[in-house]
Amino acid sequence: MERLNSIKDLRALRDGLKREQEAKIPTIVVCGGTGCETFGGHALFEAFQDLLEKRGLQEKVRLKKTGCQGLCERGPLVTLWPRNIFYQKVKEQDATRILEETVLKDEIIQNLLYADPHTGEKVVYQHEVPFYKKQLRLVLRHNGSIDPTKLTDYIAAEGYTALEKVLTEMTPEEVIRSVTNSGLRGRGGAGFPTGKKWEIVRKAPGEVKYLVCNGDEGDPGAFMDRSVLEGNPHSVLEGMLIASYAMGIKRGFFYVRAEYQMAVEHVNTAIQQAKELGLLGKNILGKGLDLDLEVAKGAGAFVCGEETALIASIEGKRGMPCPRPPYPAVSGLWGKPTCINNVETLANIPIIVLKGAQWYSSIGTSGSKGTKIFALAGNVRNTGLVEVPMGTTLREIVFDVGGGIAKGRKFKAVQIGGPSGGCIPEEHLDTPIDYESLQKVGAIMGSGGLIVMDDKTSMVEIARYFMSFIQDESCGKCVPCRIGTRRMLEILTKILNKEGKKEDIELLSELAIRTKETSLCGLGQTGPNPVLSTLTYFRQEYESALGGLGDKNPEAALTEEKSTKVSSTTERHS
Amino acid sequence: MKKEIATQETAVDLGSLKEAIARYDEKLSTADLIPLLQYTQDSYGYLPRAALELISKETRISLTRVFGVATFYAQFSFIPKGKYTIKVCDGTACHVRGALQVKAEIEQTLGIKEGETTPDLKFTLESVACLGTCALGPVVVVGNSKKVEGCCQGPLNKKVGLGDKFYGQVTPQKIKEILERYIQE
Repeated sequence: MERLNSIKDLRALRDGLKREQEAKIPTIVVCGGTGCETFGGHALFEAFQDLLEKRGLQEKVRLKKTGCQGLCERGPLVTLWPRNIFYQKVKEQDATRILEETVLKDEIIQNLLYADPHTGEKVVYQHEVPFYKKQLRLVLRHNGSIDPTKLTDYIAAEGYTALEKVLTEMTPEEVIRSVTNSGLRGRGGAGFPTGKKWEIVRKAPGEVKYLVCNGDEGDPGAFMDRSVLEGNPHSVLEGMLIASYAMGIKRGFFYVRAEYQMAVEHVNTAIQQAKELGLLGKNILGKGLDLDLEVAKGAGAFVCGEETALIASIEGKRGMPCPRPPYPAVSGLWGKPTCINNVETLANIPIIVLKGAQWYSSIGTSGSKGTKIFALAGNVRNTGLVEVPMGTTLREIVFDVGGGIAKGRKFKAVQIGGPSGGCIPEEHLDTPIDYESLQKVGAIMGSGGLIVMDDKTSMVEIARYFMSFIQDESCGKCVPCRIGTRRMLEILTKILNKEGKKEDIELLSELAIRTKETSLCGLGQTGPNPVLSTLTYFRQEYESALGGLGDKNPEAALTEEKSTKVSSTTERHS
Repeated sequence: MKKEIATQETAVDLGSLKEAIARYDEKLSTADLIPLLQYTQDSYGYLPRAALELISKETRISLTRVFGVATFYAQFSFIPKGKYTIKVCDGTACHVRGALQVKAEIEQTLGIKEGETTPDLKFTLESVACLGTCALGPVVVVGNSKKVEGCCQGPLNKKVGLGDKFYGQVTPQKIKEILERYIQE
């Protein structure tokens, strides 16, 4: 494709692509998220490909593979355009039938439809599936409709129009003001106002500044950023371009976990395509904007999600955090002002620019604006990727979107915020999701992992699980975290082995509070949260697990299944 | 995190790494260290000492610091891994759905513990904190320990083979059947 030298070129390209799409050619859309691929999505895609080729239908029927569509539990998913007919759990051998009956004859295949688990009623169209009904998919709006490896797909879906608007109608100051007024807060977990961060970086003295997209999604139970990078990498790239314009930054990094192979590949492809088209590099669209982007792959350290540790890692050092201030916005990568934004934060930027700050801030609660993506997993019926407006209650997510607890069991707790978050019991299920309300009940927004636990789960075991994770990932730089986490892990192990004494619970609680208060970085400051929240809401489980005191909790199956003793010295080698 | 470091080592052919280093137009800097280590890990399945010495010489970073960085990150290993690396996800979602039982089954079938490699160098068993495919829990990934495909853009920006095979909603029974297929191979 030819390089775009002006905004006019980009518009001409988009118009051409849109005209092509208006033809309403029947399209078979196969979900290519890792979930669906695991269940045989790729073989299905190839089966369709063969079939179309054999019958010479490539011109009449289009085939497309998109990023994660969300309802991973029911994969592989197939959607048929233009009617938006939704098939789930599709097998390779269903390809012929789908082509012959649905695509060519417009007949619906009943047994591939989604059946409402409560009523048994079949649902024909994707937007009527209850899982999607309660959601507000802004960041994920294109995840089920564009091929993430094709820049043209994104452009045809109004991609890079926000960049156009910024370059033609807005000054950098106006962009920052708009982001500030939108009320957008960092989606990585801490919730720092994005506009404010941008302003600090813009005002920081010096010519050289850096932009980093933080895609080091390390929380166990979180896959939001992964799905955005896999499903729509250009939306993040567009966010980065707007950020670079607003702050006057010429060089940026995409920091992505090496474990996320498909995400790394899609980001690399996106950067390559954008370079070829002149959307990255020098004098972008003839407007004098320069930005070079490169990918930095994380090498497997949870603490590198912390911004100062992330910086150390890009600089080629051990990923250990440094005391703040100075904040990276003032002195970051190689001592220069550095803006670090999370993947989801950046993906929100084009939406804010296009729809306006006022529109964006009308979604959500007074302190938390917009939507948030959650990775819904655990003992819940509809596991998958969910995007809801801020202020939605946990109950709505677990029971309406998630469809309730799997296998007819009872709800016990929902864990939000990963190892830095907390376990929230039934009585607080009506807590609205916003940064402040979650903190009040002892959890945090975190990056967006939501893990539902049923009555079989032992909460002491869950606390031990998270502590062993934190202990393993503690970088060892500061004493409270290095030693505090180890002692807490030992106590939890002792309690689980029925050797605990009453004083141990007190000691555990005190250690948790002290570690929180005195650790250097976010890892140690929030790591004790799972212990503290389970101590608050499920204290009787700790007490009944003490040696010689009462019976053990008969429901705590997870603990019981381990016939051998748990050892606190077993470390994860990875 | 504890890391095992081999004391004796067989000689390795450093040709691939030398070529990769030669592809750099500019002088190597500290920021190139981790990408080089990642390249070495992917090409050899581990970090041979000789490769680390070469990297130290070329980047002019002391060997101590190279080791310091390499021991910090979970991705790097100092002993050869098996042909297949089996990663059992023990993220929260997989954990509450029974990842530990799956791991126990693998340990029993292969006769190795987590972090170990079978004597025939066919399998290495690892446990990871989260693979980000929580909806499929419990998840097991079987991948080749060495993964290098043709090189494209940039000196090290090779296309990584998406050779990892994901297995979702695994049960002890199911994993036994999966392993059987690899053992038969």
